[in-house]
Amino acid sequence: MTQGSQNITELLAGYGRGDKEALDQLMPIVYDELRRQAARYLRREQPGNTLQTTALIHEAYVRLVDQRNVQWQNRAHFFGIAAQLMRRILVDHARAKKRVKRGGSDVRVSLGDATVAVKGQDLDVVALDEALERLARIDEQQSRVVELRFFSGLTVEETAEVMGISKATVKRDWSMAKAWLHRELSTQ
Amino acid sequence: MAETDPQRWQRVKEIFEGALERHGAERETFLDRECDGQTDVRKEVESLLRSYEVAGSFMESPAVAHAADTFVDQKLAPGQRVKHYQIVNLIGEGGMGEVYLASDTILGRRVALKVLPAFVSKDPDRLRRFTQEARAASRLSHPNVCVVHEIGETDDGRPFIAMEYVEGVTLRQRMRNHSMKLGDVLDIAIQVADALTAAHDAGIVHRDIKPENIVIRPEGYVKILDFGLAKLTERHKGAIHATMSTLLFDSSPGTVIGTAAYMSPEQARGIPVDERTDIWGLGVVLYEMASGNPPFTGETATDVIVAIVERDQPPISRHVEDAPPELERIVKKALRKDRNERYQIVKEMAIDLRGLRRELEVNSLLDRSLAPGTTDGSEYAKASTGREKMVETNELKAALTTIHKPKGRSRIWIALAAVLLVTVVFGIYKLRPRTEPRTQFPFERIDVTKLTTNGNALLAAMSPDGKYVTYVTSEGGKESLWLRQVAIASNAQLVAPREGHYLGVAFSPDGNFIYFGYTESDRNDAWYIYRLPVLGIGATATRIDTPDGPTAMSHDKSRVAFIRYDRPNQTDYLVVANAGGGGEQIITSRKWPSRLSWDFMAQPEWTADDRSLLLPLVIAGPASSNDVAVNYTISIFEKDLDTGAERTIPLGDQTFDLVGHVALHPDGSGVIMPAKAFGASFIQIWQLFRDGSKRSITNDLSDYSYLSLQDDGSAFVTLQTQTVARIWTLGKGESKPKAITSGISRYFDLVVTPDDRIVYASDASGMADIFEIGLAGGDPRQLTAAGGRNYAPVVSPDNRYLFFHSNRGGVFQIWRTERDGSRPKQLTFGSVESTWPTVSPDSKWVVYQHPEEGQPYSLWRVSIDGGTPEKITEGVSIRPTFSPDGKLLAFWYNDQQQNSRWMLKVINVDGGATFNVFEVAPAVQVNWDTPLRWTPDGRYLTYVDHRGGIDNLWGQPIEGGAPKQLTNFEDSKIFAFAWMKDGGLVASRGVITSDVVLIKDAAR
Repeated sequence: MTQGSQNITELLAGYGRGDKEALDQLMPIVYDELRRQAARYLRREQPGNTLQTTALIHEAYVRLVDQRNVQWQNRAHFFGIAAQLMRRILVDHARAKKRVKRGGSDVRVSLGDATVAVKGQDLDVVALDEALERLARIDEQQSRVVELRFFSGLTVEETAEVMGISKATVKRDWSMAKAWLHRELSTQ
Repeated sequence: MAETDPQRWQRVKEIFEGALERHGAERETFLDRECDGQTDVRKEVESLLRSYEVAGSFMESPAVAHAADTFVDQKLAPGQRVKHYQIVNLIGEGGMGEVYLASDTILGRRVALKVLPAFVSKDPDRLRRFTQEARAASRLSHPNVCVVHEIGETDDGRPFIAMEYVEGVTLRQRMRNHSMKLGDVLDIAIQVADALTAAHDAGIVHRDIKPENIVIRPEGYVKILDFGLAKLTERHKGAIHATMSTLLFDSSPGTVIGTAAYMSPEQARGIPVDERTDIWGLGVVLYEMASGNPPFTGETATDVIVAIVERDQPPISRHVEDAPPELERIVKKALRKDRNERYQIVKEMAIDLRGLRRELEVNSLLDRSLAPGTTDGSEYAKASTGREKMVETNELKAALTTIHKPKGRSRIWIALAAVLLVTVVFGIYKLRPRTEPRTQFPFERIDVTKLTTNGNALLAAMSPDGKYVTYVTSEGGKESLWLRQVAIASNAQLVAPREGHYLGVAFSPDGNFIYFGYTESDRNDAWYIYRLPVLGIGATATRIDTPDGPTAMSHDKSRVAFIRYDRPNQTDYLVVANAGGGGEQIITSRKWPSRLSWDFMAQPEWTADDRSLLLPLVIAGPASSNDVAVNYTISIFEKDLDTGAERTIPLGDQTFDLVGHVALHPDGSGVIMPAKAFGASFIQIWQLFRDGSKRSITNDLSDYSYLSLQDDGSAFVTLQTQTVARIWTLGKGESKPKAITSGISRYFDLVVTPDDRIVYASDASGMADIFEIGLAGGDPRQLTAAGGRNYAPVVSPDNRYLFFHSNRGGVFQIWRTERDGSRPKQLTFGSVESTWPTVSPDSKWVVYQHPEEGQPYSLWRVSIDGGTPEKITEGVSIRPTFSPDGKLLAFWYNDQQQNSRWMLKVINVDGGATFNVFEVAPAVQVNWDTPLRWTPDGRYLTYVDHRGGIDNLWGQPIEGGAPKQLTNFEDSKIFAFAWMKDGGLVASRGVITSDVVLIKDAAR
């Protein structure tokens, strides 16, 4: 195994152990990857299609980690980290954009010739993030499920795998968190 | 809040989950039973259930979809402005922003504008790195480095970088589309090595040398992009991540491995990198160009990295036949795993590459294609014609428009955008300690800023306080004078474009006035000095009827000193006078050919105590005549005004062919000047010190001229000139010239031989030697290699001998060799040079130009076997040429009367009687280099006319009448030309760009 990959893997492991510095070093890597991939997917998609975040993360994973030598444990770490990082990044961006957009300019992204309406503008990612913070204080596991499923776009199965819990639990947590968060956002 | 009670939450959760699985009455029953009168629990569960019912698609599409717009910054539309840049169109997108073609509305030039995403500016650390890197790059003023003009921020807070717009194809594209000829491979590698030399000298490591970062412009010039990764070597941690991020974040999956392939072993290991990483990178690129394959391969990035760290690359000969052993050696040395075993400085590698190129030129192997598959001659022909140039340009134009046609976006711009923008640099960089501790020289480390980029600057001077720079530019044959305020980069035109010529510019010692020498016409010597107030834009320049150069005011402001140029008597005087006028006193004088100064803007310096005057002296060596090629040495002349004592302090024994303005370091320790060291090809900035030490500050393929030093000695401006030429042929009746040489080079003085080959002089390799090449470009051979500088080849009409002038014996003299360059024989002797030979059509006589001691050039002849030379003309006569029938001899002639106009004089060989004298247009700039040729039919005398700023050939009918334009070139200069027997033309054509650069002492 080369030192290059090992280093990433070590960072992931380090992050798994709560090494703050490892996170600092991983952050920009994932950050850029997310950004690059998102822009790429956005450009690739036809109007109306959903972004395939899962594919995105898988691809990032494949790129970042030497798979043949990586333990399953690290894979879980990776997805866990990716989810957290993506949440952080997405929220930061949404927050930044909110500031810029105050004044009400058109939320349309010009993609070459086509102008594609961005899906789901009704959802306030920043508010959701704040609500999720509150949820985490009540139910850490539910907030993790939301993080993985919503922010990272993992499937129920993948979420179960990464969290080491049953699929049924993931489903139940997801439903409740969805109800709870939706209410939080509706009553603001 | 009640919700936060864990037990209650757990209860709500269980009931909610149970209720979800039930519907209608069943759910009601379930709730009744489970809640069992706990109304708050029931209310909470019901509220959540209601919320769940209406949530619908809430959170069902991932967050990225909702924040998608935050990932795509609004693009800039054509016509939109970013500061003073107007967007023309989008030319590329990378992971970290976009690249636009934009027009600089102030300077009227095209730029590439890279605009980074807004979020970058929210990360101060990243922003700092970005600006630091871009600034570092902008300090590199090198022809092979893409210039960074400006770093700024758009109105909505996105950082941007305005840089030179480079037209061309990336090396990656070139390798994909053409097999590479060995000559091209070496040309490109040498240029990259030169750029890296400059970068490394400035402490900048590129760290990402790969084919995507190397752009080949249509004329063969190579530009290295994205010193954005380059950083000033500094302490930093976590090098691996820089590498990993470049490795991982290339935009298309296929290039991941490609990028890994250019990593050095130390990058792969994540240990700090230094200059030697770039040497590795160049080694990899060189290997790939030569063999068509990367040296380290593997199915995954990991495999590639393993190969880089552990395995030796297969020899190039594994991929291609006949790889020169020296090439294998160079590549091996660059690709040593242990960097201590590699070339230690890239310059060593450049020297070896040049050596190899020279060696191959001799053996005429340069046009050999090494990569397999396309070794036929047609490939060579195609790659060398102007047609290919057009194809490439079109390729790029097509690429530029692909934003609307998504088929194949230009990879240049992907590379351009991706690499500069995707720079997550977390590397550790130790400041590499300088291994050779030595006395600190001024300008030991320099910051270079290009002040102009149009390539048409002619002269420049800096004000004593360094605040202003005045410069002359030429546009369409008209010259104008400009003033630039250095700090704010503002440019103002002081004198509108005019037909005349500026001969020199300087600031007055108090900085309030600009002096310039100006002539309304091309006629030599009809020039005057004018004075213009610096802050008087719109003011009229005052002509100063004085033969005096700029004055130097003493520190106590009581006296002034200056040089007086008494041209009629060919004498220079150093004069001191009272500041208020009067009291003139001649301190010393020199009579031509000795001079006090060779540039008329020279001024003496007062010592700090005002007691002595210092003047740098350029002393001509034994061959003291005109400034073609004399061995100059530099001294400081010091005159004690109190005692009258004077002394001349020699500054070492370095000799120079050419010396420009010599400035004294303010501390009197030595001088700084543009000069061409004896035997060197390029004029560089030199420093000489009283202690005998010397060094050249610059070291590149440019010429530097017109140095002016800031008063405190901390900075100077100079003019950087670059020449790129190719040899072209134009068949009779054809209108499109064809390039028969490729790549960057300099070609001078060419002739077509009786056996239809081209013999030319070139100094591109660092030595000036004579070469020959076929009319179609093939079969190059080197004819001289005996040292010295060798120019002006001619071949006798019987094709038996080659004649040229060479200073291999110290002074330029006429030499003869066999046609193949063997058996050299010196034909002229003495301490004064003899140059520009021409052979009589009967192959009996060599006629050449030669000035007797203290006299101007006249024409002489000597037998082709040597003997006593005989003077054949009086008055200034240069560049002789025989008519095809041998009856007439033509040359440039100056009678030194009145306006000293140059004329075309034709004499009868028999008896020397004047046959005819023709006046020529002012746009014919006669100088020692101006070629003069007869057309093969003997009807015209042809020369280069520069009207409209474009060089074309004109013919003077020998029987009289108006000159006739013979060519219709639309660009470029003609450095040399010759006619083929059938009337076809061979010319060395190319461009010379000159820009003003500001060089600062980085230590101050």
